[in-house]
Amino acid sequence: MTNINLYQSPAEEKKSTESFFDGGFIISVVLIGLVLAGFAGIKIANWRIAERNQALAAKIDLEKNGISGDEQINKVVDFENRIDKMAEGIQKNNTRLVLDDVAAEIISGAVLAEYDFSEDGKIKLLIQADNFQTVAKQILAFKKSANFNAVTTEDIKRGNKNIELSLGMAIANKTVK
Amino acid sequence: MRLKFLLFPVVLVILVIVFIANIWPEISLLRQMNSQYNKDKEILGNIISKKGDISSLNDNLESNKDKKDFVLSYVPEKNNDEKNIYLLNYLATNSSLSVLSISLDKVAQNDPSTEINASNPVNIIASAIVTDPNTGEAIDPQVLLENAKKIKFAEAHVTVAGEYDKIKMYLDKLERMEIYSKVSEVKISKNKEEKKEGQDQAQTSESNLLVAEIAVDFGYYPKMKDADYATLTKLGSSFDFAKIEKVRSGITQNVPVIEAGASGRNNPFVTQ
Repeated sequence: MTNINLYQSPAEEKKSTESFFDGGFIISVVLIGLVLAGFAGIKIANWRIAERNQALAAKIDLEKNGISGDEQINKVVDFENRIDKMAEGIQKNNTRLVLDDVAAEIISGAVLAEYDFSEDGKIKLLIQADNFQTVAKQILAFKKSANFNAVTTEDIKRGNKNIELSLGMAIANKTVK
Repeated sequence: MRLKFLLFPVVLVILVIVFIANIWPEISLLRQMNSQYNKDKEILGNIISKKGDISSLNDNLESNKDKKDFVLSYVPEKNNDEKNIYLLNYLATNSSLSVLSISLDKVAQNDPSTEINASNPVNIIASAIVTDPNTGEAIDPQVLLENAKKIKFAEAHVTVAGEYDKIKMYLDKLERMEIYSKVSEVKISKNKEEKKEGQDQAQTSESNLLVAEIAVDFGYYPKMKDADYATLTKLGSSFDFAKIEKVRSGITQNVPVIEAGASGRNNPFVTQ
């Protein structure tokens, strides 16, 4: 059996206890120091930036408050707004052209008795026709028209002299006229 | 001995925890505050720059007085009932139509935002709860604010009688008036009076006389009293006069000037 020598000299023992404060310890201390210094640095920086931001925000508030009371700014902004509103108002229904489009679809044997146009582009018509064949043809004429869609027959009734047809429809492209 | 080996890893772990728990939030805060600073700096720069533009814009406005007058006349600050009535009648007469009636609607009853200073969003937000007079329900301040920025309309109804071509001409003129307006409703029917009176059916059916009930919305925009940052930043460095010219090009019907004429009567109940 092989003998193992477990003897340790006192010098070696002393060396191992002293090495507790070696490189690892120093690095740890340095790291802790760096982290603490960094933390303190960031805290100070944040404090200063917060102060700087507050000063800037106060300056902005001052400038903003000066806007509403300034007569010249109000006048210029008012004029600019008015121009914008004017431009928005350009697009609108051309009611005369819509009326022309309706007239263009009225067939022979039918007469327009009532025309009702509303802002949302919906139209209601009361048409007087000679007979039911004309009524059918008149409905078809509006359904085939490119100027109108959603053509619905709302009522058909026989009057004293003719047949009354109530039609509902919408302008196909109500603003581009 | 064991402590020696554990010291560095333990310190490292503690530092990592400290970094995550304390330092990283501070770094995030720092970045956030820096970003806020840059944004605020931009806002301030924008305000100063826009305020600098105001002076030149004002000079530009004063040197284009005709355009300024046109815009103020086209989009007036207040609803002018007298002007609306005068226009509806003037154009009808010009189109050889007879005016049977003219009536005006009160816009303020339908639009709660007009009861508040329409050009002052701050007042709208700061004001007490506003209720819709029609429904009695509370209105969201944001909705009020949006409404306040919109153009207001005063609706007028006119009933005219005349021939088909003349009514078409009238509609055309109404669409091309030198005032912000839109024709919102048109009802045309055969003259009912004539239908009742006329015994000869053949005669009435051939008649060209029609009655048209037309609703016209006249626009107006309350004067700006308290411009804010949002409106200021929308300003360009110069006015877009091309928009005015575009609107002008679509106008064929100028608005005549209304004059009250001489007034003062000895007996106001007697025609003199």
